[in-house]
Amino acid sequence: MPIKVTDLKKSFGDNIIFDGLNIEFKDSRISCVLGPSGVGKSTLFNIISKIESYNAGTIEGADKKRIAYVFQEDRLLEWKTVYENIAFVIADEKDVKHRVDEAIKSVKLTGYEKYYPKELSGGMRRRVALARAFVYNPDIMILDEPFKGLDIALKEDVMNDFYEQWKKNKFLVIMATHDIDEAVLLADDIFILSKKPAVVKVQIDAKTMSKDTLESIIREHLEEAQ
Amino acid sequence: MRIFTIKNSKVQNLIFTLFWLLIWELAAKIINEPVILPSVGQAIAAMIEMAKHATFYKDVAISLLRVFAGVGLSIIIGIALGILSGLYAPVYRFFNPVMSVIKSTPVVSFIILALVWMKTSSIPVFVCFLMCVPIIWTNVMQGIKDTDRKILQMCSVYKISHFRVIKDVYLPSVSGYIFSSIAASIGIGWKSTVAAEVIARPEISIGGGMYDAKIYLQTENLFALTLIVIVLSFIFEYVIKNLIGNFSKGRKAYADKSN
Repeated sequence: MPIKVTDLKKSFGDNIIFDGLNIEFKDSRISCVLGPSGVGKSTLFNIISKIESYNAGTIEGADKKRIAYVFQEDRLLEWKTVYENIAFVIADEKDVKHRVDEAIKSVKLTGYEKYYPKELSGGMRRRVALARAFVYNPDIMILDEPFKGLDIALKEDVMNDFYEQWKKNKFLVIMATHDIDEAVLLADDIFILSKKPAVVKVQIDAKTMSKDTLESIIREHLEEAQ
Repeated sequence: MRIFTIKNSKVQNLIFTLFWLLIWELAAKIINEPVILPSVGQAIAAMIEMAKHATFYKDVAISLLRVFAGVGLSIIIGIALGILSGLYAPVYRFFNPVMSVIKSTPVVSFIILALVWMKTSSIPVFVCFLMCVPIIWTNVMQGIKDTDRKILQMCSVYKISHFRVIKDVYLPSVSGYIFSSIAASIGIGWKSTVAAEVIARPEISIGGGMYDAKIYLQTENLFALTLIVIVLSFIFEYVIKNLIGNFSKGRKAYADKSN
């Protein structure tokens, strides 16, 4: 089932973020949301995941769904180990040990199970947050700049691992990024938001064109959206 | 360098303690009236004399138990109410007036009221509890309010149960607040327990001994008992701090390792 956002209105005091935003994220596809900083990407994600309220409009398709969210910050429990942080979100479910081990393997953190977040580099912490999202077996995965802070080689690795994981279940993915390469590599659909109050400036079906064409279209629209 | 600093601070503590004992001794010599101010030697001699009698140990043990009971009860109830008040604003509004009144009421008012309400042996525990519970309640509540909202949002997205949010997020977050409030409560617990014993005069107590010392003008006994209370309070605090230290060591290990 897709996520359909209709006529969404949201403001923080006098600061109007959305004044009638319409956007639809299709099921079993990876949707990338691009746009200038502060345009409201994180706010939109927070609204969809129900940790932020909104003033008016409707959100369909996210109710009663398992949502995994990789936030811009890692949001790890500093007093729990890597293993415990990942197991935390499925502790009351079945087959915890096997699932956590698999998730750790998928982000190449085998051997670091007993480490605490403070002992890890920024990139490793990101991977723990990603593993926590993978292990949850979500219907919807929201990723807010998930590969930020990873060095180029590792980023490619983790992105490939993410894609492999996604291919197994093909859940609905919404991802915010500033990196055009990430969008080109992963996205099925690309949404470019323009300045506040945010609206969808352009929607691109990424798989219908070559990478070079896609890249130049994104660049052109992003410049206009600034 | 670090060892030197620790040694240095220990030496300083010893020198300054000796300095204040010397001042006491000098003042006693100048006044030269043990009823007004006994010397250090006289207070220690009184302490040794007391230690020869079995009743002394009984008094100390019972007073110690009262402090244990009062502080222990305030820890259990203070943490429970603090968590609930931190989580739910109406609970906070319900308990806030009571806690504010307790905090501002002189301890002696409670002791006199308790004399009317209950038997004398229970009064010190009750008063100790009343004096300590607002400290723990306030600290725990503050800890709950200061818990990282972003972590709580993460828990909300992943639909973590309330029980596990309290156990795995709130409690580790407020543990520092709980420990510091317990440490602060011990001194106050001792003071209020002994004050209640002096006024309520239960049969077996350190406070009862202090009252007798006042009646019979045995000032050296009063000083001796006061020293005993101070020493016991230090020991109590030391033990609790060590217990706390051991308890939190596991959690802090990662920090030490990474530094």
